[in-house]
Amino acid sequence: MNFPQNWAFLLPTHPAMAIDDKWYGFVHKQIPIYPLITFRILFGLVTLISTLRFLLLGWVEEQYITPILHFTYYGLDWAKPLPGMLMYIPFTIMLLCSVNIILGAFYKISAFIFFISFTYVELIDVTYYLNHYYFVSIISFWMIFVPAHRYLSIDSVCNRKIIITYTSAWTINILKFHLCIVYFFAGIAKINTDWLLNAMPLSIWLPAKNYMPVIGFTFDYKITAYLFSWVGMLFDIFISYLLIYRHTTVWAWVVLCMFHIITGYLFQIGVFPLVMSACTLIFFDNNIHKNVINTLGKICNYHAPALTKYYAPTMGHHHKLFAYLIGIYVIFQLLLPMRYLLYPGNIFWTEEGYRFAWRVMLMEKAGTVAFYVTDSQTGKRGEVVNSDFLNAHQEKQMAFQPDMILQFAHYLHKYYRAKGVNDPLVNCHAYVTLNGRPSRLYIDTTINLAKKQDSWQPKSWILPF
Amino acid sequence: MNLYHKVFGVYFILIFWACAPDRVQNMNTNVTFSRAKMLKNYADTLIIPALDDLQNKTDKLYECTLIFTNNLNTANHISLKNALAEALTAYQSTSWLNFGPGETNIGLFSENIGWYPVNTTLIGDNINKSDTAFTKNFKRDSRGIYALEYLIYQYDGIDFAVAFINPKNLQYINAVAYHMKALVQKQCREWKTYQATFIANDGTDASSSISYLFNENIADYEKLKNYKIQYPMGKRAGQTKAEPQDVEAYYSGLSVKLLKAHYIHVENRWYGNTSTHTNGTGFDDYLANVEGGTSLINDTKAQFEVVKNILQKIPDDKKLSDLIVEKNPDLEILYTESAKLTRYIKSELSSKLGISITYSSGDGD
Repeated sequence: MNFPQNWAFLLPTHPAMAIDDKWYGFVHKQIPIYPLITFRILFGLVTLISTLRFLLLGWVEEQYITPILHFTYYGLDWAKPLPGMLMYIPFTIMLLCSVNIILGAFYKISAFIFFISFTYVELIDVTYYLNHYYFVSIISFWMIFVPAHRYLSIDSVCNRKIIITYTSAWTINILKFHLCIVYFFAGIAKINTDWLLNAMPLSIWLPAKNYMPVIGFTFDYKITAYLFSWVGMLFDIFISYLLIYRHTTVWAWVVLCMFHIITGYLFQIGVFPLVMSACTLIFFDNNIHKNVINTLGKICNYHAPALTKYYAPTMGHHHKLFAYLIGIYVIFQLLLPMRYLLYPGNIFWTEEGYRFAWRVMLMEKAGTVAFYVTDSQTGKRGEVVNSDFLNAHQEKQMAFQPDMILQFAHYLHKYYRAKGVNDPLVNCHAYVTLNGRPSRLYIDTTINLAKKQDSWQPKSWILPF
Repeated sequence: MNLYHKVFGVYFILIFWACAPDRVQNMNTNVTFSRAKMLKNYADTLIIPALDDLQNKTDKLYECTLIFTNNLNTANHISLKNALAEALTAYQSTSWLNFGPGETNIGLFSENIGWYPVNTTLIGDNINKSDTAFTKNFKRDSRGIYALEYLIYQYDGIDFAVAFINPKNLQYINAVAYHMKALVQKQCREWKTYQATFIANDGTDASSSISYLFNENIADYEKLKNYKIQYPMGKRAGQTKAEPQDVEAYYSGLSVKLLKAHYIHVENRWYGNTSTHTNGTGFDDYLANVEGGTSLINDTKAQFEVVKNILQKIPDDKKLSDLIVEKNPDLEILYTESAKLTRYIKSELSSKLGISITYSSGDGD
């Protein structure tokens, strides 16, 4: 389909235009599709590698089959694991969908099923929450709606009518936006006293990695922790600008890769460096993507039409509404990481508003928590052996996250009530250390956690920092 | 280029600010601690000698078992009991070695050697069936040093001729002692091969030797706290009464001595010491070289002393099971204070040293 004449006004944004028209133009402006095609292939590859790695490391069994209980997200406790070996099904589906995404075969349905499967798995247990899993979930959601299969794909080979060479700007910019906010909010989160003035937690983490070749010896010096802290903060805040600015894109990406290689080597962050290094290639110039895609097309004997073809969104006269919705979504994504400001206290201590906020590798926090169950009739009190119910990973994460402590208390209440304890009271003695400080009492020991309910409200039973 | 200038301008201003005089004094702290040296100390001073000692004791125990089962008399029975007591004491310093060669296809080292309470019904069934295929099943509560303790002490005070009228009884005793001796020999032999790998693996991430040392020490301490004190005292959630018969070494009554010996080993491990080698490089030395480590050293030492002082008040010559029945007040204090120690040697230690608290290399960001 050729570019419609009545859309021509979308190409330039005239200063005299109303702001909503400018936004409308920005959202629907037609730009070359090639970066989106590269992104589709790379994203599929990354999810394929990530899923294979997960399977090969035996984490399906360890994280989803073996545990006795799972910590659910507030309001999402319907997300339960499939029984036993059936839990391998969503992972197998993810593998197949990833291959389909790479090839652009049955793309829309594959992207949809991948999003459902991946998000379902991530919602099962909050223990394994990672920012990059959240990122993959969001991106896979948008991959359902973008026309990433309409060039260099099996779908477009089977149905050549769908081929386009231009797409609406939002289909690419929404992905760029999400990459930018990961870094930007990660950088903003680093602007705190511990990170910048005390070089914490890097003063703990770096000396522990002084066996790293070549630069490892420098980790023994406190100044290195300061340098890493400040450079890390500045990198996170400014890398998005440098990626967007076309004269610095390539160099910014090289620096980004070096940053991720170093952090990937230093810290246990799995495929995060790979995900971010691959996805940020979308910032490269259209011509670079075009050359790559055309070369790949030649290798695959892919024949694209010579004519320029534009993306025809199917929403008809709702274009403007869609542009507004995108705007609302963007504002929501900018506000969500800031929601912690609505809670009293130190976010690192209370963790209220901590997740889904791109707070990446920010603190060294650990805890030891002992739960006590008391029979409300007999007064008989006993201590819980947490490892009887939780794996090491769950126990570690639960010990310093209040919502998980509360969930475990509720589980213990039900468990011991079923065992014959009368209306069990559940208290805990939790000691938590944050960024190298001596551990302190974390939860009010007098509170019967079994009677407390989780909510969006501040948790009054968390003791002040 | 303006953007570059602005970015680097801000960057240098911030760096100079970070290097303000009040902070410079801490910025050239050079951490000179050698984890390899610490690992060498653990391997050469704590682990290998402890395993050698256990091997000698279990070899002797097996010899005494053969002598007794061939010649049932009081003198041989006393020799066997003494050999068992020595082996039990030696085992306390090795019960944490469940990594490296300690992970076997029939379970962990301590599961095969030191499982208690033993299942006396299962042992009886095994004896009747002459089932001594210990390497082919996971019924670890029917073998090991505590099974042998039960077998040796169960007929205490009864005429040997009557007690051991069933020859299968004696065959089972020999089989248990032999299996244990073989397991210890294997562990000892394999540790000597593994020793160099252990020392060389001086990182701090999951599956590093430091991570193993830390995790196994804390796992061992929690076993001490939960199974030697908490459970027999009836302090576990859901328990309606004490279970004094489930103390360690219930039949021999050596529980208090073993509890004290075990506790001393936990403390020594933190210091990197043994009873004869008191200047070893341990977690305390490691902590002394990290930021904020001194306060944790002091807190941990103080709590070790508190627990040790209470332990000293518990009489060696009394059975732990009897003290539990008597509701000895010092045991209550011991339980409370030993629980307090956990946070110092577990979460605070791992956090200060940046040690991975799990073996699984799960991702994190």
